[in-house]
Amino acid sequence: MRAYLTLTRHELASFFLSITGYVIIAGLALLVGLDLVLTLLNTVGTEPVSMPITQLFFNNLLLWIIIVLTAPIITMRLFAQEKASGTFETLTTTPVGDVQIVAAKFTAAVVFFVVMWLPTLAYLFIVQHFANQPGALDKGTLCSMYLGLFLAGCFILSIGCFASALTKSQVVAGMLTLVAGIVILMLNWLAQSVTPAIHWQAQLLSFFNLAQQMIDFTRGILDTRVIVFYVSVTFFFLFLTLRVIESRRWK
Amino acid sequence: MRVREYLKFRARLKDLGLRRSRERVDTVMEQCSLTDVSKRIIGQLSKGYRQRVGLADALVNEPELIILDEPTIGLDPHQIRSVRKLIKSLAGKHTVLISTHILPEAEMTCNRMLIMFGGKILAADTPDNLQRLMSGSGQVITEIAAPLEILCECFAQMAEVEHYDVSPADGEFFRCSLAPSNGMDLRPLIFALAKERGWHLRELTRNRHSLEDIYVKVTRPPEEEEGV
Repeated sequence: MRAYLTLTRHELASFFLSITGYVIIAGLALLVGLDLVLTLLNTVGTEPVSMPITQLFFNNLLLWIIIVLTAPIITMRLFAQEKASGTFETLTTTPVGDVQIVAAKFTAAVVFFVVMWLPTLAYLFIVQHFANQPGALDKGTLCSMYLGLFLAGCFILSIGCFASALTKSQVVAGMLTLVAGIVILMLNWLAQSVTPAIHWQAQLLSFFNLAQQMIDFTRGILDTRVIVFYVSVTFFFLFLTLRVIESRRWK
Repeated sequence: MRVREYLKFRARLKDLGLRRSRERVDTVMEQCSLTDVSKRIIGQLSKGYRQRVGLADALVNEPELIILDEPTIGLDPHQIRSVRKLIKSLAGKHTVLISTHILPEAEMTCNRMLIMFGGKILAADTPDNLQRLMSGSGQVITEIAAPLEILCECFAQMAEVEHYDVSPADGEFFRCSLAPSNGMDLRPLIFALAKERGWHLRELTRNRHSLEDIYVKVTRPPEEEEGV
């Protein structure tokens, strides 16, 4: 446990004690801000709309592209950089278990992801300030939106972790994560195009309909199936990461 | 990362408590003379310093066995000396295993040597014993100023000398190499001879084999040895 905390702190320090973390946070804040402005101008215009601000926030695909783009940037260095610089070797010579290594790196990525999204809270309150409608931003929907974002983040970050463990090259790791993220977004469209359908394929695909699930979250709907799905996929990819890390001993 | 920061991180990973790790980090920085650079960024240090940071990392949790691969490679002579001194100071508390290609270094620092070749251990003993193993012949080199024929005659008459070889050196001196018949030390006999005859003697040494010779002899394949 002590090693886990030390490692997590070390990983977080590598985000926050260098310029990397701040560039990512600033970049995301800028992109999300621009995205929100565009959404407000285009989809809302001057007509009143009857949806909570949280839903409005996620009512376009650009935001998903931003999420899918930032995940690889966070995760690509986790293992790949250490492998390339040789420090992974020295890390594995310490009595720290593989589980602790994977858990610490993933935790650091998730914590960073959460910190990265915190500034966007301000946007919601700014919109509410101008909405003339006290019920537009509700505590419940706010919490469920960030829960959804957190779970979706875990989902994509775990894939990123796995990709980074596979290779020494950060570029390869980043690209793999990006491709996986975009494929998931595409599945999302595919799921939309085959509905309404009762086939098992369509039902399976509907699990990957992240955008629709997110809309549910932003409206304050917590679907346990979706939560279980996100959590289990996250654990599945972390398990695969662990296997990859262990595989160095399989020779 | 900075030197102190890194060592502390490593100490914590090796499951040392907060206070203990602080103590140990101070001790190993002292041991490896890193105190001056404790606040410097490791990536900007010279190779010698970086190597010592690695060594400090290895020592921080006081392991029973320390394995060092080529500990002095790429260091300047001053640094080599200080690293050697450090390694020697570790003896007693820790078991240190060094793998090296620099044979004199092994001779200087080690109590026990293993010669490995092609994945097999070919010899394992103390440096002195390895010497003895090699120089069982106990060859003696001497330089004496004497008339050639009388000198050869004297050597031929000595029962203890199995084989001798005389070649002219500068001036009146002759360089002789002598092999004893039963492994005994010939040096007192030679000295007695020179004293008795009143010859000048300017060198008298027992031929020590370098570790290099020992290594070559031990690792040479048997068939090749027969050919020679």
